[in-house]
Amino acid sequence: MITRLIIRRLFFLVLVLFGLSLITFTLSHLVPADPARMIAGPRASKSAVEKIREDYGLNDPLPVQYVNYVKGAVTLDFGRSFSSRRPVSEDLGRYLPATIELGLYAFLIATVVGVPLGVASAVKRDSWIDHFSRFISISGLALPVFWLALMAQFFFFGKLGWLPDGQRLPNSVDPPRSITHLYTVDSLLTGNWETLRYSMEHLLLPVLVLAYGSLAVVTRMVRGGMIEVLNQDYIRTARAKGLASNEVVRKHAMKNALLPAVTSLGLQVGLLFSGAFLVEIVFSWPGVGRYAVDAIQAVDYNATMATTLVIAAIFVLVNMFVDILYLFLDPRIAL
Amino acid sequence: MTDSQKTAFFRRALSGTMDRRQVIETGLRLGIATPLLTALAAMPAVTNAAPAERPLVHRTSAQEIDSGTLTVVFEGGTNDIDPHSSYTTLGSMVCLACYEMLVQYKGESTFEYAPMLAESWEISSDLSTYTFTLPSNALFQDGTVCDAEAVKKSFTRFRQMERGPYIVIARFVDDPETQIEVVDDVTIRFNLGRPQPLFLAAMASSFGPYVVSPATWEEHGTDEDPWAHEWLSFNAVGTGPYRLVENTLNEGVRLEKYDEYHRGWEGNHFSEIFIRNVPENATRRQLMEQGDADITTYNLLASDVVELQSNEDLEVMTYDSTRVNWAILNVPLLKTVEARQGLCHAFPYQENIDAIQQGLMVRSGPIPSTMRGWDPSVFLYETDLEKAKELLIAGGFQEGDSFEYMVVSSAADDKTAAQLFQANLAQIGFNLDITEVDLATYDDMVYGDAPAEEKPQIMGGWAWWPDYNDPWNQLAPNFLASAMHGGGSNAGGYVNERFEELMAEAENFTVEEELDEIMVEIQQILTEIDPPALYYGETKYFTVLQKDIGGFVPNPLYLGTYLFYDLYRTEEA
Repeated sequence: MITRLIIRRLFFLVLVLFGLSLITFTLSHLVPADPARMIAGPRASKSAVEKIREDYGLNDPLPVQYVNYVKGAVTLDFGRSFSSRRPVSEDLGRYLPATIELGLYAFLIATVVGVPLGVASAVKRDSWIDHFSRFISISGLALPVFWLALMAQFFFFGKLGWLPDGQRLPNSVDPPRSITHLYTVDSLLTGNWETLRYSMEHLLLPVLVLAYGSLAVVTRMVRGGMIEVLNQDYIRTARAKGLASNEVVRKHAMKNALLPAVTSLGLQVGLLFSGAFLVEIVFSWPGVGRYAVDAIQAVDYNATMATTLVIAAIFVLVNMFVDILYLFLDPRIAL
Repeated sequence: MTDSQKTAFFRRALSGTMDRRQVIETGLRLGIATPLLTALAAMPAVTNAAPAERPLVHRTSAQEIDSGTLTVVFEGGTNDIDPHSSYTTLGSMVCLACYEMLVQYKGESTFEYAPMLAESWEISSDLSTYTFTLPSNALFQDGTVCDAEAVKKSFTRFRQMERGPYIVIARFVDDPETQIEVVDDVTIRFNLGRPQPLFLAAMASSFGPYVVSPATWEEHGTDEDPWAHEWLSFNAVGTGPYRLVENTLNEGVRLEKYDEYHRGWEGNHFSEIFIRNVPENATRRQLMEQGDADITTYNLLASDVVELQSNEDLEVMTYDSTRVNWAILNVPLLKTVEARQGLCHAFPYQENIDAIQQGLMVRSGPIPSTMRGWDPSVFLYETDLEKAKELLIAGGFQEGDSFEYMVVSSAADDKTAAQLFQANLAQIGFNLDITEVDLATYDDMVYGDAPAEEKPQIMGGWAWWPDYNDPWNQLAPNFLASAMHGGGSNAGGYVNERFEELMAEAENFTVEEELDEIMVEIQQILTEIDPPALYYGETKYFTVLQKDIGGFVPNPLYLGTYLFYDLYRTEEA
């Protein structure tokens, strides 16, 4: 069953990536700007611009350019970035860990805080905790992440001076020895406590801002699921049998209520990546979101397409994992 | 609170029947959050308590004082720091740290020069030969000797690569092999073949005439890229005071002092420079306010600058520049001179200066007041809507007609100016359709080879300053016929025969007074007679720096950049 699901999903992943590559390729080539001129810089001679077009294969017909791109992408060769002049795969290796670290902690916070908050607000409906969770949900969904990031930075860095403005580490601190490229993990593994403290300090604000939107969705989903389950007959039966309220919630209600939330957690990965594009700009975070924004602005086709494909692949793979997890959580699905 | 309780609460509130306890309770709940947030917003900023970020000044020897790290904030990264190709402010900033020109502009002057790589120079009486003497101890940062032969090779690369600012050298040297003469190890001569009064001015430009180590392209050059441009786009090997340590597009540029720098390190200097890439304007401002950044130039909104002037920890310097802002007028699409003149009369110049630029602009024509050739009595259009309407109708347009005004979407000030312009035109019955595009599209529209007929009627928010103090250099790339179709930024397809004749004279002038006379007529053509652009004015530049930073002397030609070697921190540990 699982093998079939994985094969089917991987087949769909290929289709999704193919479709995406076609859309991104077409859209990026529709922008009425000449990347060769961007690379050559202002006032470059016509011959210099022409040479760049030739070097980067920009004179080839579009279908040829697309086929060449796909051929390379299959072997994870996304070509050279027009901006950084490095292979795009090398750039992704440099910037993706920063985004993954940001997203991972945001995901953890959304889950670790969102699930208990959703459960508590469902169990204690119309209490202060329910109002609080409603406030979190509504504000998390209503406030644009960009605005929230600016405000958080304004208060916690600009006004209170409690937290740094952004970046992964202070200027004066060297990154830890690279093992996973996640600064917190690497400093932990190398026993570099000072760097660990700094990297956590620098992560705090962007992570909280990024997590806020997902937290809202998770809380709301869990609350909704819990309320529905708590009204089921078997819960009433469990209570009638004299089980402690805590035990009813923990053992009988939560397991079933969390199923829809698990799906929503998978979908949050997309939300976190799109949020990262904005959060990384405000917090000068050297991640793939910022890299993508710069690439789009610089008409850097190769980098734009590669980031889109990689993010899409991560999204699809995470959701495939969630579906597999679902099979374990609810064996009825397999039937 | 259940739904029924909520309904009852609102009913009581609306009917005014809430009891005292309920009023107090609700008031308290509502009231606590608001003053808390307001107080937080209004409170003065607390200085960041992380002292590790702020290195202190310390004496390293009897003669040397180390100012520590200088943090510069800048709005973006750069993908080209090759000095013979880069045409950006950040590129220029890095080049001024890692490389040297032969000479530099002296202090604030745009007419006087000071030594840089060359210790001294001699100019022949007919201004056709320039001889520079190099220091005997100059070493490139790769350890190779910087002698006259190396300088010649570097200028040959600059000329022959034909990228970015190569017109700075191409105007004077066509054949470097024969025109650049190595007299001896420390003497190099440029034989220009005819009087060239502006050669020294060009050699002091911060765009192009830097000396690069020839070992770089000998080592990193390839068949496709013999000048190692790709390698030098992200690496730097010059004779300058700072060595490039790291250059990442996303984070910024790190530089550290080059110990073997030929002018030595006596006195007070920074040992490290960090040019931090901060894309968000609000963050840049906060970094300056918090003392986490030391200096920034022209990287904040004009309104921020006005507010920061009252900050006791910061110094805000405003000064003249050579930069002029204008909107490019599309000559073929606007059909007649009258139509262009009419549009020039419709622009709200004073409102733009007062309300948008916050006074950081003065009216000007195409040549700024800080440059040679500036005509103090240059014709300036006044905002006169009646006259604008008259001219537009005489120019073949009629009420109800629309003009397309293209502007870069991220340029907030330019967009506001466009809206004011739109309102003025609306008053006289014309429409202005504002089109927002991203910078890449805008640049391609300006520099690309599409004909003017395929571009918008007005391209707003354009700005230019010259490579060196020369009005020909300011005007040629923007208004000469040869600067159309990818040859420059004459995106409006402007052609004026008399202007072409005068520019040819200006390019070859030998006596300063002659140039002034030529420029008076040129400015008359470019403003009153046949305007190719709508000139908003000449920009006042600003630099915001911490009070303890010394040595910054603004030069109207080195805009947005710094001579890092001259900067220092005054505060003693």
